[in-house]
Amino acid sequence: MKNKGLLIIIGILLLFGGFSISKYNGLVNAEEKVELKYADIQSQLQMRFDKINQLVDAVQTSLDHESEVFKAIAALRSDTPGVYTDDKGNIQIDPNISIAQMEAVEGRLNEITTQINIAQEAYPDLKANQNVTGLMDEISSTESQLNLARRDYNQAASAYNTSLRRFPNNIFASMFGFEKASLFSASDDAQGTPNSLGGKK
Amino acid sequence: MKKIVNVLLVMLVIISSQIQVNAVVKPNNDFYVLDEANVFTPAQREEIINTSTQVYEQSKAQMVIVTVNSLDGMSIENYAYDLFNSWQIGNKDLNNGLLILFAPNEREYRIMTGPGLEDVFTARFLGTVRDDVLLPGLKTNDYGVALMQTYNVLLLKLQTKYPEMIIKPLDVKEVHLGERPNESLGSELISMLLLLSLFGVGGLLFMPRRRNRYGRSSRYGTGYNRSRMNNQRSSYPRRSSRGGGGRSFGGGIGGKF
Repeated sequence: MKNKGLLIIIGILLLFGGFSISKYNGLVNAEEKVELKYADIQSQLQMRFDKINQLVDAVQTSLDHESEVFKAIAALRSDTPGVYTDDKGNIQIDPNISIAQMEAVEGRLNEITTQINIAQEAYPDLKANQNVTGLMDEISSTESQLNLARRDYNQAASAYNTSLRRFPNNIFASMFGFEKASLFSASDDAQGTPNSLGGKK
Repeated sequence: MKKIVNVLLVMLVIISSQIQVNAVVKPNNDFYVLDEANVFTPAQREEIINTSTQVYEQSKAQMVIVTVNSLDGMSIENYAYDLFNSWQIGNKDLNNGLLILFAPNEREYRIMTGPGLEDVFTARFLGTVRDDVLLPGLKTNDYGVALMQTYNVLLLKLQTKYPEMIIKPLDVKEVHLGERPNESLGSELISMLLLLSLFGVGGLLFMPRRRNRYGRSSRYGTGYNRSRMNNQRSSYPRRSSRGGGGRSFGGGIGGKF
């Protein structure tokens, strides 16, 4: 009789153990997914940098050095946390860049493309330069990939955050020290896509 | 009892309306064309479906055209992305789907490909297609024709990736891509055409077109196995030709017109 009681207790403990393991693994998976999506954003951002680097090379000869384009590039280079300039003079992103930093960097990148768009109107050379227009198309494409990667991340991160708050996950989450994922502030549906390309005709 | 049922019904409505938020259109049985905005004639739809079916049979790539009446408040970029991935356009392993999304009421368009096609459908190339074919075509206001011409140019490009593919382009006035110095499109086009004529299809491109849309059969000329095509249609139900894969990273081009 005594044994039976013990068996029941052991059974309950095992059940609880199994339950918490599965909850724990579920949270780990969700967290992993969020991290993967974050890495996607970083690689898209790096792709965009690579294109901007090429674009900077392409426009250099056509513009004078007082141009707003160069001011925007200088601003990105000099004091933007989360990015650095490598030995070849190319701008790279720091692997540990935070979300807030990424947002700031993107603002700077948008400024560069906006300025190049304006410059294209002022310098007929630049507008006729097929390499530059081609690069602008590529940048616009990476921009939308970046927007979508960010949206995917936000979806994964909010799903993860919701699961953290839900009972009984909230108990396990605090027990095992899972932390909330931060989100990108503006969704692009609200923000609008910076796509100057399609509407030019 | 009646009260409880009513409450349950209200809950059901709330739940289902939640689910429908920001949902993209669902594929129909034709899969390759969904023409909600009615820009194509039934015969044109049929022709695109036929051609895309052959593309799939010969290369496992999927070319889909969708026209919608409303983007439902979403950006066209997000709409295209969700549609591409929920329809699973393209082969699962090859990721070779291609979507032309057109929203005439919002005056927006987007061309999106799976990563498996990004090597040929670069943003640069798609930019040329937009500038030389799509936008000039949309200006003439016959949206259906402009989309079909765009489809043809993309099909021609797809044939450079799958040279074994022999497919007759859609029956619309041919348009050519202009030349961009940094991507020798001109010579690429010539070699593509040479390649096509090698396969006996080149002749078709330059054959006089019959005005009658239903008189298609007379145009199947040299080197084109008509019976093979007809058989394909009957032996492969459209529904089963869904690729069941295809994840897009959301590249491509788009914008307003």
